Amino acid sequence: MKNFLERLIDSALIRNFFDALSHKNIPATRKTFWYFFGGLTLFFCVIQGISGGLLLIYYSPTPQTAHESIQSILTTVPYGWLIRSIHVWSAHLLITSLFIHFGAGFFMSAYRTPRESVWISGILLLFLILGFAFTGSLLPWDARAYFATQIGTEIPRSFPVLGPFVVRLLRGTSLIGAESLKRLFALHVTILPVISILLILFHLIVNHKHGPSIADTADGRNAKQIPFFPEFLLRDCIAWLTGLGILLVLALNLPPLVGAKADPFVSAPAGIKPEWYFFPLYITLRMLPGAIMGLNTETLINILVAALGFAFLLTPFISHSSADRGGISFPKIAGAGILLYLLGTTIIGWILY
Amino acid sequence: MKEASSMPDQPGPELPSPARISSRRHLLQAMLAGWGVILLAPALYILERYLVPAEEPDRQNERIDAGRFDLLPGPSEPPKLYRSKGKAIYICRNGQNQVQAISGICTHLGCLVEYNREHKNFRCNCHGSEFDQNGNNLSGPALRPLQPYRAEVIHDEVFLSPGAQL
Repeated sequence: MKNFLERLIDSALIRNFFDALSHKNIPATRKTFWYFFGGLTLFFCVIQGISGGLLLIYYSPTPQTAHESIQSILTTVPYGWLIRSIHVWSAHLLITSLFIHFGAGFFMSAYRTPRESVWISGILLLFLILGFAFTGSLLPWDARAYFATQIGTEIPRSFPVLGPFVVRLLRGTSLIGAESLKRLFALHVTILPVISILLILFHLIVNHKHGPSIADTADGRNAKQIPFFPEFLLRDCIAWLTGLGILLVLALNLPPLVGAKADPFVSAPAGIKPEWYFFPLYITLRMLPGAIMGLNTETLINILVAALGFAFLLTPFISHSSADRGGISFPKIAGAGILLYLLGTTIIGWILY
Repeated sequence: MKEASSMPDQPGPELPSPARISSRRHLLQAMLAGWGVILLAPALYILERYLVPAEEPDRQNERIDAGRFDLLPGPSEPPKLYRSKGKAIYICRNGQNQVQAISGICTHLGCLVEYNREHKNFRCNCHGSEFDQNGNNLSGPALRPLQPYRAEVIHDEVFLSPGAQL
């Protein structure tokens, strides 16, 4: 007779799960290194979920109490500063790791048939994670958060047709206030997490089904095959430990502060700028004149960003898979150009402003 | 070993014996588990400190200023409900310079009892416990009388502290 635990494990299909994972092979090529960033991104997502849930216990989302509750987390709650520091730094590392994962997938043509759904869910997750970053930035209700949200919810206004509606939907009122805080809070802690968790599961399941894209190439077929479980997962563990190490060094040594409480009637402080991952947008807004050939620049940027988003969503259908078997193709050249622009504006944002 | 079998025809450095690989793997697994424990212990400590709320000062025996004696309802009127800092106390005058004060918190599961003008008693609407005018439990699931308060009248001001009337 099987004992209680074994029956439970069998009933929950845990053995089948690990069996399936041990039958999946990952080719070990020089490019396999880039595969760790997917797992690392997932790892930081988990850290965000845990630390965010903990912060939720003490945070209070009203204009009267939000800033005070963050202050109290930083000063009176035991280890509150550490939990918040981990949440903030893990957000930075998550986005860094996500960009690398995205870039690696793009330049390694991971979007090829039959991985269209893996790619599209990944792009949607990229937007969702940036949505997390944006909605989370208002929650401390300090001056920087206030103006970042003011600008961030103002930009969509000039989007043709839908703009004003989107602004109203995000803000709840015409000016940033209690209603906006509640809306962005609900997005940050409930709506975005639920959608993201479902999409991440989908991303993982279809990815598991189709396997890594290197396996389709001559390189991958000739390489040594590593079973995903336990060999590759143990290598993932090393990546996670490294990520955790970097996170703890940053979180323990550089706990982020919170600025003065947001006041709509105090002018934006000097030197105010967004988080680094919004630098490309920020620098573009700063550099360009208000109108280009009679067209409002914000409208142009909105259309450009939307077009870029669609281009990335549709990359599997735009690019010819035969051209992607290695060598240079149009999506690769365009992608390299975009990458250069993103890196350049990020560096400019860091140094010049 | 899977790694060795998947590349049979590639000449390479001589592979270590399976026994050596196995012992090395065990060492690495033990190190990983050790890491887990080293990380988990402080994480659990921090979690405990973060989640357990701070101790609150004990207000149980604090003396309460319940206002002026002559503003309290008379013995035949329904008592006044005094509410402050987690305490709810029914107060009324009870003769010359005498005050009757009993807690309104039901001794069953902590709901606030209601004064019934008709029957001149206290009833808890949550589970139906009934108490007489002096707070003695009459019926329902409550097994103890309502907590009495000792009242002192000093310069026409009423002060309450927990305990039976002297």
